[in-house]
Amino acid sequence: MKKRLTLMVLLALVTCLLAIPARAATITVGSKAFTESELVSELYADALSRAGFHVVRKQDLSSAVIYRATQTGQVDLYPEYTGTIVLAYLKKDASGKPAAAVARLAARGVKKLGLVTLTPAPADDRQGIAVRTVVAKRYHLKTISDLQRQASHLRFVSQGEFDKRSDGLPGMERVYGKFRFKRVTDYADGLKYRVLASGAGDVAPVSTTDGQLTSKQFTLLKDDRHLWPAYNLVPLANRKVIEQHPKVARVLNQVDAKLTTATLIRLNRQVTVEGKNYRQVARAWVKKHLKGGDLR
Amino acid sequence: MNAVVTYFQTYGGEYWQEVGQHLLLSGLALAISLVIALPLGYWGSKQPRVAAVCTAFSQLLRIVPSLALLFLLIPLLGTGLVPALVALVALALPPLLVNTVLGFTQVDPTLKEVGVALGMDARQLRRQVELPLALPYLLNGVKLALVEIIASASLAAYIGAGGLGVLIFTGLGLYNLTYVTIGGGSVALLSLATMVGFDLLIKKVKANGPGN
Repeated sequence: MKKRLTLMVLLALVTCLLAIPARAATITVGSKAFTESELVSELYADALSRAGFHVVRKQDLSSAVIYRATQTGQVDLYPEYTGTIVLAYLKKDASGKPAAAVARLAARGVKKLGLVTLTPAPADDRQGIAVRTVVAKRYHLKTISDLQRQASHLRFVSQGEFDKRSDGLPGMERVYGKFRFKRVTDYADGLKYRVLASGAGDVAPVSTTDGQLTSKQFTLLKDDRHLWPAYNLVPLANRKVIEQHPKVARVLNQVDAKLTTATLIRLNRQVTVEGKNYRQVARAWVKKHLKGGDLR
Repeated sequence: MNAVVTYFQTYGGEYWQEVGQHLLLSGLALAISLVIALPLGYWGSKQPRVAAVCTAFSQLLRIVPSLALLFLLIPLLGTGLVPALVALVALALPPLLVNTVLGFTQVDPTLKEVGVALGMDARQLRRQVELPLALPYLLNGVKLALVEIIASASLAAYIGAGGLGVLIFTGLGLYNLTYVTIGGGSVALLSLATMVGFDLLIKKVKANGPGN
């Protein structure tokens, strides 16, 4: 009698286990090693897990590694920029092209690599050059052309990557002429505003959506010769993943549609200036701005 | 291989500048550590309590990861050469201190007594008996410290102190393996040269040393 009971309980258990639907699909979301990339990857991750996916995070990868990892499938998707894809990865010229054309170039270019770009967000985070406002006033710097003329008085706070990337310093020199800075020193990317603020440097390559640029301490120079095209935020994904899970594209496009340049600046500011944790900032935003309907 | 040649043709000047920065940073860090560790270690060999403090302190320093130390120092010392030097000195002190204490304590007391019997004053005793006998240990400490410094000086690139680390981090960012190989290879070569050089020197000092 007892034996039969045990058997029945076991049988019931097995039936229960079989009735549970297959485990939710796992999506690996990556990011590069700077605030905005971490933040937006977290927006994606959070939205996807709310939409029922099992999300694995691989954040803070170097920008070259993540591009390859997405092709091999070690990372399924991550936030990228249309301009970066075209200039840095595909090594094509996009100077002076409108945003839609850059996005098209990017979409077409990554296709051969087994990648796909989803719908670009309205947010545009361009490469830019910022100077300490005090210095900008002293040398009358408003544009990058002004900077090129006064370079010999100024110390450039760079990173090795910007010194060598084709849309970095080499690109600037191609379009504006040689920059003969008084000194070029490389730092970790996260330190540039601190170095500028401390007075140990004058000029730095920045992202135009950096939260710190809302401070009057720094002045963004105008790219008067239009070296940098639009860098619209766009999810870059492994094509197989999007084919298998079309819902991923739907969810991310909902997130992207709401990401404007102003939103990005505000989110970045909360992390870099107000010192909040990027995960919490992302979670709060997703909770407030994504309704259940967006995640279906 | 071609890529390496191209690199040197294009950025040869930059490379040697980075090697120069790397060596300057390492040399300065070693000099500062020696100034601290030698007197402290000597004192420690006379006073067991000081030696105990030195050892405990060394162990403690070893626990702190150097990269963390670099970033922790930024609010205090800013960026550039100074915080990099402080971090490297912290790395170099443990092997130097431990070996200095060891070097001076292993000097046979009988030999010191002989020195005293020959009428040597404290200074002569230190210069002519203790120091030569402790020298192989001291050099060994310097070797270990320098190898550690040269390898870790790469991290200084993060906080604007330059050096071969710049090449390594640039290469990582761009997925340019040529840069990583040249940078990493050069650091490895410098470490290896230091190690081999000091081993030869220690051998020579031991062979010429008194008592043999």
